[in-house]
Order: sequence, then structure tokens, then C-alpha cells
Amino acid sequence: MNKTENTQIKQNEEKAEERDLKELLRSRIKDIDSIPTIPAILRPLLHYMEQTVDQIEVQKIVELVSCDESITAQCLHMANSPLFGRTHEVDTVRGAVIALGVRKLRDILLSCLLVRLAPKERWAMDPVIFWQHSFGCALVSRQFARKINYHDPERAYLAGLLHDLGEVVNCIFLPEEFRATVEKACTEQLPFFEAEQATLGLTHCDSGKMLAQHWGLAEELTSVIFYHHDVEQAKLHPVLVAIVSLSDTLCRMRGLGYGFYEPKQTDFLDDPAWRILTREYPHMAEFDLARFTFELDEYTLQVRELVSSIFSKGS
Amino acid sequence: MPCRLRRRWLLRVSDGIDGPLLGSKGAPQLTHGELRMRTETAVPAENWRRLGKAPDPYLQRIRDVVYQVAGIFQSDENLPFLEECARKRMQAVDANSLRQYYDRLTVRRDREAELHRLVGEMNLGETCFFRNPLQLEALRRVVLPAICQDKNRPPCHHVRVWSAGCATGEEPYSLAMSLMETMEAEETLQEWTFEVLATDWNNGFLEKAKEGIYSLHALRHVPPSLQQKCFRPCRDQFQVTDEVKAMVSFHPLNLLEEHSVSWAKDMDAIFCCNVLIHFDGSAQRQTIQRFHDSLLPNGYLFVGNSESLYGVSDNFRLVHFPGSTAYRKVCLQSPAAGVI
Repeated sequence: MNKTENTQIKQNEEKAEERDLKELLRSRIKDIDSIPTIPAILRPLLHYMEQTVDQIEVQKIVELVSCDESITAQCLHMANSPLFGRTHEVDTVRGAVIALGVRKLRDILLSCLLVRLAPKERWAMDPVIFWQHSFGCALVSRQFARKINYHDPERAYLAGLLHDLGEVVNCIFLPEEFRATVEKACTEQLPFFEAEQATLGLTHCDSGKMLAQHWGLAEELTSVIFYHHDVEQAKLHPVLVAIVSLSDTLCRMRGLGYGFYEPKQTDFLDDPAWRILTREYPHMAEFDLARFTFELDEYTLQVRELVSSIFSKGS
Repeated sequence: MPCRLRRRWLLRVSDGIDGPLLGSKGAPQLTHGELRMRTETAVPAENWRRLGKAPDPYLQRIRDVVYQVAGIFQSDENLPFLEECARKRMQAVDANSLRQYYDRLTVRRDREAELHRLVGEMNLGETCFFRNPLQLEALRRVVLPAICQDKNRPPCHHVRVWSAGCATGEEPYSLAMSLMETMEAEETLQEWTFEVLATDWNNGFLEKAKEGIYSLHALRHVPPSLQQKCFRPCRDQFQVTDEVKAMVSFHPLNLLEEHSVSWAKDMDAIFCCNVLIHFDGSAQRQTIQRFHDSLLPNGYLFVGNSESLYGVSDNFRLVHFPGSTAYRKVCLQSPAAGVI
């Protein structure tokens, strides 16, 4: 057998392994609802939030939240954080709905629930760092969306929060393999999706998409989850994908990354996501990115405080 | 008749954290009243609540004016500090409220002089070794490899870095120490040579810098391994070793004089931190253009941590590194002459 044939066989084997891993992941994801740590209210709530605000009943939300004491406590803790713009101390879920409005409470609730998605012991990486990045990306996406006059900043928050959902999936369903990925990323200071490609043959974008489809998440959220590292391929909702993709990079550049130094320089004007937004919003040419970057540092501190306090109270 | 405001005043108008963050390039010149209306910003309420009180909206407007004119941004976290500085100046100019002081900064004839007095009050010139460690990290781990890759053709194994406005020498020595450390750690850099040009207009500062003697306080951010390697005890203070000194050359230079700057050529990177904030708009633009001329194609300009060149020059592009930013020289491509 010659060298070329050997290489061919090896490549075929690798492709088969990759397919196997995807199949395995797909079959495991079907069982996600049976994992005891996944809060029972998460799935109904994810569907419920797809309704327009005027269709949402306050009472229904209060009931959903109040069925779990620790979720209620965590939810109120977040509601009292300056990041969600509280106007005065709230001590009941109903009070939080009235003070903050249904949409903000929905964001808070989902944030609390997602933190519980994978228990601490399952994490191959520090969950505090992961959630700091996800919350950071959610807040930066919302702020960025506001700055450029995107029509739905709250949607950008949600998309930012969920963009790395696939990392959670990998933690839950491929714990051993993912541990090796995290180690590779940290040692070689690689972005996760590159390390995943090398060790797993699939990325958190693939696994996130599988869970998003299994849960029946909105098309635009699935698009963000799948394409945030390959923005140009996003045919559906490219603007939202671009907002989250840029916010993701900004977070990684401003201290809300994956906990290690990524030795690279980013010229946002060269980023395909920036080009997409400039096409959609011509006034982006005048965007003061330096100032926006300075303003984000305020978030960095607050996000760190908030996530650390959530975890110090035990999730 | 009110005098017209400088272009720079008009370029930097933005709408605070909750409004669109867009400049107004190409906008017609505005009168004082119009300018004031446009600089009045929405209060970023969510960020202030953590301080337990609502911010004075005029403090935020003062922050915006400082950013527009001096190019230095005070984050919400720093607003109490800005207020402290503003209140010291308010006493000096007999202003009874932040609103009155804001008027001083925007309406009065001597508004620009007062703004520079306020910036002076912020005492941003105070320096120490490794003042901005993430900037040095970017130099070592991102910029230097990029420069070396670009220049990796003998006999050009030489890197030149300029510390413009080096004051008493902490910045250029920090640069030299970082470069030395990288050179020792990287086998591929053994054949390379590094040079730090350090300039300041103040001869007194330069004398102190050449002497290289500092208090322990100035060394507080120096990594312990470098403290041992790069300093030796000198009476009750510390002196930079001759090995580090040999990498740095100090020269008097006034950034505002063209002939004085023109010999500083072929730079790979320039560090000019918290210097431009003391210049007026036209001096800033001229200096930036001189830096552009001094840099090699794709060279880097590092400014202070909260400084911005937005609206000052289109000849540089903002680049982000983890925890820091810099400006990269834009090279215009000319088909006949190549890069210009």
C-alpha cells in the first residue's frame, strides 16, 4: 500500500469518527430533558418567551419562577444588579416584573436558568469564566445594537447570551473530549472553535445548533449560534449574527474572554461582521469604536461582580 | 461675534452611553449654542446607580467635552475622580455649580485654556515603570512577532521603538526591559537588535532619566524577575543597570517643531502616552502626521489607556489587543510607487 492510499484511509477514518461523534452527540442531546439538573421550567419558558410582550401574562411568569425557591432568589439577586437598570430594591418576583418590565425579567430569568444548565462538576473549564463571557457578550450585544439603532436590542441580548450554548452541550455530553479541547486551547492560546476543530472535528457551533434545533429555538437564535464564527455564511439574520460576532470578539479583547491571553490583534474594520453592518447601517462609518471600547470596561467590572456573586451563592 | 470652534470640537460630538455613538464628520460648523445642545447627553442611569446616587448631568457633559477636545475618556467608574478635579478648578474660577463650570468650558473665550487646566489637574503625566502592562504584553506577544515577520529579511534585523514624551524615563526603560526579556526568551530573536529612542522637551527630565535612579514606589509594577535583573540598589533607591541603559538613547525634542522631529525616522512603533491630551487640536493633528511620517509601513502608534484618536486622523486604524489598543499606520497603495 503506498503513502497516498495510507493518507486516504486515515482521512476516511477521521471523517467516519467525526460523523460518529456528531451522531453520538445528536442521540445524546435527545435525552437532555431527562437530566435532573436541567430545570423543568426552562423549556416551557424558552417557548413562552418567543411570544410578543403583550401576549405574555405576568402571572404566568411569576408562577413559573416561583416554583423553584433558589431560582427565585437568584433571579431577584440579578434583578437588583445595576446591569439590569433597577430603579429600587425589589424583593418579590412580581415586584421585579413591575419595576423592570416583562422583557428584562425574561432576560434575567433565562440567564439564571442557563447558568444551571450544567452543574459545576461537569465543567471542563471554570463556569464562572464561561458565564462572564456569555453575560458580557449579551450586554455588549444589547448595547452595540442600541448604538447602531438595531430594531430589537433585547433580541441581541438573548442572542449574545446563547451564542456559545454549544460549549455547554460539549461539557454535558462530551465531557472527556471537551476537557482535552479546553486544555489544548489554554496551552496553545487558541480560540475554542479552532481547538475544537482540531480535537473533536466539530465545534460548539455545531453542537449548539443541534440543541437549538432540538429545543425549537427561533431561527435567528439558531443562526447566531451556528454562524457567529463564520458570519459571511449566515444567510438568515446576518445583522444579528454580525452584532453578536463583533461583541464576542470585543469581550475577548476586553477581559471577558476565556481566561487566557489570546495573542492576536483585531482590526474590526477588516472583520466581515463589520462590513455586513456597514452595508446595513451606512452611518457605521462614523462609529467611534475607541469610545465604545472604553465604555465597555464599565461592564467588565460589573459582569465579573455579578457572575462571581451568583456562583459564590451556589448555583 | 462669537469665534468659530475648531474642527476638532465638532468631530467629537457623541451622545453618551445610551445614544448613537456616531461622530459628525462633514457636519457644518455649529454655533456655541448648537454645540452645547449636541453635547448634552442622556445620562447612563444604569451605570450610575451602583454609586448610590444619580449623576449630575453636567458632569457627564464635562466628560464629553474633555473627550472631544483632549481625546481622553473618563469611564463611569472614573466620574467621581473627574468631579473631584472639576471641583478643584471650580474653586479656582469661582464657579458655583458643575453647570456653571460646564459653561466655562464651552462658552467663555478662554474655554480651551480652562479645559487644559482641568486636564492638568487630572495629573495624567504621573508615571511609573510598567504603568500599562497589557500594552507591553501586546508589544511583546503580538506586535513584535508581526514586525519581525514583516522584516525577516537580512540585513534588516533591527527594531526601533520611540518613546515620545518620555518624561523621567520610566516608559522607555520599561520598553527596553520588555524587549530584552522577549529577546532572551525567543531563540529566533537572538540575531536581532533593539533600540529605544526616548525624547522629551524638558532637559531636567532627561537628565534624571539618563541617571536612571528611582524610588521603590516607581518600581511597584515591575515583575520581580525583572526587578532583580534590571535594577541595582543605589543608596536607598534603585538604579537601572547599564545593560538596560545601553538600549535607550535620550534626546531633547519638541514634538511641536517639525525640523526637530524629522530625523526620527524608520520607527516600528511609537509610544506617546498622555502627551497629546495637552495639545490643542491643530497641534495634535500635526504631531500625529509627523508620527505617521516617522513610522515604517504598518507601524504602530500606542497612546494612553483612555486616549482616542477618533476624528484626529484618518491615517491610522484602531487595532485591538487583549486589554489594550493601538493605532496602525495606514499605507496608501500607489500602483506606480508601491507603498507610500
